[in-house]
Amino acid sequence: MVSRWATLPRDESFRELDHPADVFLELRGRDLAELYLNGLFGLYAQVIELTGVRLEQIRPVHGSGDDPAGTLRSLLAEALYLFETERFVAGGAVIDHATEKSAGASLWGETFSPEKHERLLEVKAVTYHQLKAWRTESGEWRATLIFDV
Amino acid sequence: MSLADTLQRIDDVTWELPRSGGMRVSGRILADESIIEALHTDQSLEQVANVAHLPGIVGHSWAMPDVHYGYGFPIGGVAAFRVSDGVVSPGGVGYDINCGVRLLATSLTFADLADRDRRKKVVDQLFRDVPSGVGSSGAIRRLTRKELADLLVAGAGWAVENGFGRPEHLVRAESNGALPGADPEVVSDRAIERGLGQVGTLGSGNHFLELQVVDEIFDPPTAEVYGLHEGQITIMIHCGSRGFGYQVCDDYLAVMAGAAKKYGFELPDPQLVCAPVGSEEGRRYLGAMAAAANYAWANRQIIMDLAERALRHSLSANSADLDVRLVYDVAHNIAKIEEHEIEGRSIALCVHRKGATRAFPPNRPEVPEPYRDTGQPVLIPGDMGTASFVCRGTQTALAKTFGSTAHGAGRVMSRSKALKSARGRHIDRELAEAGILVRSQGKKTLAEEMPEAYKDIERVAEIVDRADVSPRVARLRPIGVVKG
Repeated sequence: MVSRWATLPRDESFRELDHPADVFLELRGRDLAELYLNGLFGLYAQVIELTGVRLEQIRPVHGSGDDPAGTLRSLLAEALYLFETERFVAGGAVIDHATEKSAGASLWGETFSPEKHERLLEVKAVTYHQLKAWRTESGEWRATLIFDV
Repeated sequence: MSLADTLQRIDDVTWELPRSGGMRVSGRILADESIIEALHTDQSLEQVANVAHLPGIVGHSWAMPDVHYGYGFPIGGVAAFRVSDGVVSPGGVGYDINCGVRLLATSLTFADLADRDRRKKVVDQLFRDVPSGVGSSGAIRRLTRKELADLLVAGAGWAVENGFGRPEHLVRAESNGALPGADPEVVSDRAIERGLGQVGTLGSGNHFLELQVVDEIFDPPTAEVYGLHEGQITIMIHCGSRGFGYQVCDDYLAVMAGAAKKYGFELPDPQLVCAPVGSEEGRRYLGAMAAAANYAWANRQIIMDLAERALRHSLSANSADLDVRLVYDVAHNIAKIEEHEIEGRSIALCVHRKGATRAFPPNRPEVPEPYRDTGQPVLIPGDMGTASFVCRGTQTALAKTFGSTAHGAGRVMSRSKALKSARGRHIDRELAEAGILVRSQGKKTLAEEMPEAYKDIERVAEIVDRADVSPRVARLRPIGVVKG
């Protein structure tokens, strides 16, 4: 089932940490799939106002890395590339598979239109800075990352 | 004890960070007491020290007065490495390759735009005609791959050849608006795809287009050579290489991670990944970086032309009435191969300026002929509510900082804090009351970019003046702002 950003609990999905110039996020997930999902949520939440995005088209994205942090970064960089080249914005997603070294998601959304969508920030890149993913004692996942904006 | 406690004052505005651990050279910071005080709670000094560990570094690892924490290298950092045995690092340039500033002079004076409705008409037209904000495109049609490949080699020259501006603009841009050695073959397909549709767009964040008035002249003879006088209307453009440059940086961070391992570099921070300047990886990065730098110069050249047309249209004027001229165009995120004198010998260095502006003196061959007697114009933009400065390059800068100076104000407040601080306020109205008309595409941009979020540009300009690395020539006050 598609997890729609507008209906997800934002505060439980990610929180913004203090950073002088860019966007520094801490992501949460009960499992890896949810961590990757919330990473995508955190990305699109910076770019546009999410309530107005219609789920009309599907685009697959894949990420891979040496570890969950690298996989997360690669997945989000892929989504960002899709936005920059096809102007595709997702209003929700389904994580199709999630392992430490690979992730796949189906993004549900539509083509960005400045007339329809409320613009927020331009994300230049998903950086390697403070890029970490770890498991908590209770078995949940956490990750931190910084978007250069 | 923090690194800031180890600083030793050398003169009025220069501080030394002594060598320790694996530092090959010492660090140097241009600052006053208040900036040094602020560095106690910031990690940028650690980054100045980390850069000093890199192979082939010469002189000092420098920080300009607008220094702040970056990725790997600090923003406001300058470091030079011998071409013979030194390194090049994408982290020393940044994601927005050749982010820079272009200043246009006009024959208009403030009296011509004193009428608020007339000024509003101009700002609205600039906002309509210069695409800005998230996902902006469409200033010019999407390029073909062949056109983009030509643009990546010819930079601003491509724009002029295609009807955006005039040939005389090219001599008044750093490197004539095109770095040699750009190689489209070493650029990824992803960067090409990201670049095809974004030529002629401002982007968002701290990028802007400003309508300004010259409100103070500090150095009348130099201002005259630069074509600036009190009361004159100028236009300033601040933007870079858009998604194309970001992708080049991203791609080469991965390449350099492999290279750093291959060449056995021990790095104090993994984000300082680098390769020898002359290595295959180093040469490829420099070829891709030059292509991105040229994208940025073409971008600013096209935006200049769009702005000139908007001005003509909104004022129902012709070119001769407005006499829009390019004062100069500077890069402030770049690595360049330059000859510098080290211990009495001229040697080739790869000078990284990340959030720093070149400030070359009179008679330096890279300075265009019209400015050969004064030194190059240095453009230091401030926040949208305060001012920007035009300074001049000096021999002191060349001898001290590899011919480099500050690039702007630098943030002091996070975006989230700025948003909280702006809650219940109307930043646009506050600025309008101060005589500054702002237009922004992004819902939160004005709050995030509000003047209090930035360091005091007046202080930055005063320090680079006191240090004689770029004395002030003119102060420009914003009267209209277009943001992404």
